[in-house]
Parts: sequence; structure tokens; C-alpha cells
Amino acid sequence: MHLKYLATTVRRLRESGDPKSKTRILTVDLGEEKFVPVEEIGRKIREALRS
Amino acid sequence: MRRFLHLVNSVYQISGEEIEQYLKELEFDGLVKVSEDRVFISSKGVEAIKEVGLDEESVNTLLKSFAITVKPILMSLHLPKLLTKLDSSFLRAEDIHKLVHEVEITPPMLLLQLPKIIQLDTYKPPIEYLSESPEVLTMIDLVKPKLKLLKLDKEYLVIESSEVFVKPISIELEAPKLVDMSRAISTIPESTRETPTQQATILETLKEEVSYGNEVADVLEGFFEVEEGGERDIRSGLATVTYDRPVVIVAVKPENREYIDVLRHFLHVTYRIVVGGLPQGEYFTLSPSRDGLELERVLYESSRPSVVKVIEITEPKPVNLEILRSRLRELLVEGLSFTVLYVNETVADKIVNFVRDHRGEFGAKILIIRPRELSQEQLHKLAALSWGYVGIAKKFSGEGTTVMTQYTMPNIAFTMFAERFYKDLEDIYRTALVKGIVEEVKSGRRDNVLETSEHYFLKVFTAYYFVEKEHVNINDIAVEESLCGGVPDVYVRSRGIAVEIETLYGEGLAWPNKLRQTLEKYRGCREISEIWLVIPTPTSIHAPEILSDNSEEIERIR
Repeated sequence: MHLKYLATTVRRLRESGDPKSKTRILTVDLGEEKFVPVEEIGRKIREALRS
Repeated sequence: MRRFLHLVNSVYQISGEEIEQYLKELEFDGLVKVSEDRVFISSKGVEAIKEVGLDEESVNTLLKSFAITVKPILMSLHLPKLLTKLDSSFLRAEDIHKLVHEVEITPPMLLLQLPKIIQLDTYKPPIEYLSESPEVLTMIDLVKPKLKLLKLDKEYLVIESSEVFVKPISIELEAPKLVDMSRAISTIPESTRETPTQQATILETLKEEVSYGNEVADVLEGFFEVEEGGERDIRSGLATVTYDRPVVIVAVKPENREYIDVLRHFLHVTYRIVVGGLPQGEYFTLSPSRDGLELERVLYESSRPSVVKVIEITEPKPVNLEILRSRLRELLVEGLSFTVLYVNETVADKIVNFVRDHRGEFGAKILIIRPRELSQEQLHKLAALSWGYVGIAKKFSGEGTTVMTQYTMPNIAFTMFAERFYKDLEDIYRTALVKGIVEEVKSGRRDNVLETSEHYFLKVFTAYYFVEKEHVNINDIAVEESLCGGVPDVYVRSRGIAVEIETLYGEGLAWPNKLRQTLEKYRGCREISEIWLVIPTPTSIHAPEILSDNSEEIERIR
């Protein structure tokens, strides 16, 4: 529900032609000192569980 | 990098979507650079190639062939309904997103004219697309459907000068097959033969969601067994905690698998999101040798609200369930607290049945959890990912790696990375302090309450990141300054990037609304072209929905 809600909002902004249509949801990898997409973390967790 | 080489070697065998994903990951890691319509290997990428055993000559050969020319092809992203053919060419990511966007707004229609007769051996369906968007027409032309089935009128056959002419009854088209070709069929029926044109709504009929729900998982799912929808669903259980209802958790502890610190961390975060502030903590261990004093404290003295209370029960003997029942009944009139009955498997059934039998008396949300059985490698990766350490998780390859450690307890693995997370935050703060970056990072207040240290640390990290990694001048970075009616945590002027750090503490059930407000408040603001919503750690995403269910949307959002 939460992400759908967020995604819908973002999509609406995007369709309205708002310049902020580019939105990233990120967290931090302090080891690499960079931002990483939250979804990438989710994908890695899934991969780990399948390994 | 091995994946990259694999990609090069098998570009004809893998889907365009996978290629795009690989390229994005590689670019994120700094190994390649996607620019305009070409892909370049960075110097870091060259070094990485060497590391996997290629010699100088091979590297040079690769470098000559890459810059890979990136030719257009439509990928399956959001368009399972469109025909595509992987012919070693791909669209740039931004073009794909643009096309997806355009197609959604003005879905093109397929126009196929059913001819009266056709020349059999050279026939190709004369397909056209109709769309209000010139961009769609430009790009979609690359992905025309194939002819699937041509039904002919047996009564009509003309042979002229060795050429065969037949009369079609219907034409079936096969739409793109990236997801499921069998469902991608559009037919022009016989009944419409008299109609010179027929709009076959391929794009609409094949509209379906490409779900990546099974491709991502959240941290809770990683550590705990989850049975969706009931008392054994810790994910939805924690996502719906409210400030005015207590929670009783029976946490079953298999032998040699201590995980209570992992659970307590999640409860801590949940409390902060639901209530704000910090909970009190209590921890009691009931065992035959210590039951006297501890039992007294747990069962008679401990009645503080707003706590994360753990009662560890190791043996059946010291548990006086009647006294415990009386204390738990007190919860009914209280607000949020988490009472965790952390029980050995030997007493688990007894405690679970006890809680179930009396659940109505406690007035509490009941959750029953078990840890997932994880290998050492899985545990290491999961613990690293819980704190955002993607790089470390990737490096774990088992044998021969220096990263590998010998722990098998979730407690140890998880808290080790927790410690590292906070230490790294502090180290970056100190570095930023020396470099003069912290001087530019104002503290923030909300409703006259000072921000959390976590929030401030991450603002410092963000400024540090742009200055040190992206080479942005510190004077180009504004922290906690008004812009377009909002106050972004960090605003990078030259990039038009507004960074919003969302701890969500104190937002309660309405935290999605908070996220929405964060996005909405910059509507119409021309100074901002991009918003980065930064979640402190994956452990703060206790709601799995942010990771799963609709991750394709996230992909599109980017």
C-alpha cells in the first residue's frame, strides 16, 4: 500500500509535466560512501535468500 | 565485472531489460559510463577487467569494441505488449522511460488493413501505428508485430506468372514476446473483412502488470519466517502498530540461534515511527537459577508503559502463567508497548497456547515469530544489506574471502554491521568536520523540536557525498534553506536535486502521507528537477511494500 501510494503520487506529478517527475528512493551504503536504490537492496536480499 | 563480461558474451541470449539493469548497476558502480548512445568502460572498469584475469591485449580489444554502440530496441519494461526483437541493439534508459510515459498517456493503436488479395510468398502485414505522439511513432516503429497466422479462402487462388495470389480471411498477429508471447495475439476476424481498416488494440488487450514482487524482499522477510495475513506475519503486524494498542510477541528461539537483538532493533524503529521519541527498554531472563529476583521484577514491579520489554523464558519450570496472565491483562488499558516473550522451543507451544487462549484479556496485537534458517553466507549478506552495505554483501563469496566471518548467530552478525554503520557515520562526520563541510550543514527543527542525530548525520553525509564524490562546490549546496515554499534537507543548486531524508519518526500510520507531502510540496518548482528520498537504512523500511509489490513503479520513477 505504501509504495503504491507513493508511486501513484510520483506518477501523477510526472504526468502533470512537473519537472520533479524524476524521483529516486535511496538509502546509503556507507562502506562505498554512496547512495543506493532501495530496490537494489531488496533485490540483493532476495538473491541472498535464494542462494 | 564477471557479469559484465557475461553480458558481452551473451548479449544475444539475455533480455534487453536485463541488459539495461546490468548497465545501470555497472554505471552505479563506476565501471562503465553510459553517455548519449554509447557505453564506455571507465578506468575503474578496465582495472576490474584485469582483476578477473584478462590480459592487456584482451582489455584493449574490449575497449575497441566498447564503446558499444547502443542502438535502439524496445525493452520489455512496461511494454510486454509490444513486439521486440533483440538484435544486439538497445534504447537508452531515458528513451525507454520517455516511450513508456508517452505510450501510457496516448496509447498508440495498431492499424492493419485486411487486403482483398495478397501475394502469398512475399506478404508482410501492412501495419501502421496511430498515435498523437510523434515520439511514440518514431520509436514504436522498431517493434512491429509479427505475422502469426494467416487464414486463407480456399476458394480463391490465382497463379499469374509463377506468382501466387490468395484471399485472406483473417490475419493473426503476434505481439512482442518479452513476457508471454502466447497472450500477445490480436486477430482481425472474418466478419470485418468488408471493413477496409481495423484497429486492433494490441496495446490495450495485452495490458498487464509486470510484477517484480518476487524479485525483491525486505529485511524482515529475510530474518523471519512470514506467513502472510495472520499472527505469524511480522511484516504487516509491525506496519499496522498504533500508538494506543500494546503488542505481545511470542518469539520462538531455536537452539543456537539467538536473534532477539535483531527483533529489538525493529521494535525500536517501529516505536519511533509510530510514537516518536525513544522507548524505554527492559530485559528479564527467567531461568531456574535466577527466577527468584527476576520473576519478582517481571511479574510484580515492571509495569512501565512505552517500553520494549523482553521476557526471556528458557525453561518451563519458572513460568507461573497465572501471574504472567495477570500482568499481561494490565496491558489492555495501556498504550503502545512491545512485550516479547522470547522462548525456547521446549516451552514455545505452551506459551503460544497460553497467549492464544487469553488474547482477548490482553487487548493486545499478538504476533508469533520464528527466525528463518540461514546459512552463514546468507546471514552475512542479510546483515550487511540490513545496514545498506551492498558493496560488502557483494564481496562475500565464501571460500577464500577475507570478509567471511565465523558467526552463525543473527544477533552477532546484525549488531556487528549496526556498530559499523554508526561508526562509519561518525567517521564521515569527522572527515566532513575537518574539510569544513559541517560548517555549512545547518541543523533542522520541526515543530520546534530538534532533528534526530541520525537525520543530521545523513545530511552531513549527503553534503560530503556531493562535495567529495561528485565534486560539487560546497557553496553550491544549500542545507535547510527555503525553496519554493518548502525546505529541502539538502539542495544541490547546479544539479537541481532536492534531497529529503525521511526517518518518518513520529508519523504513525500516516507516514505514506508524509512522503506524499514531501513530493507534493515542490510541485511547480522549476529549480528542482529531481528529488531524492533517502531512507536512513533498509531496517527502517519495516513496511515491505516499499520494497516489493510494485517495484516496477520505482523503476519508472527513477
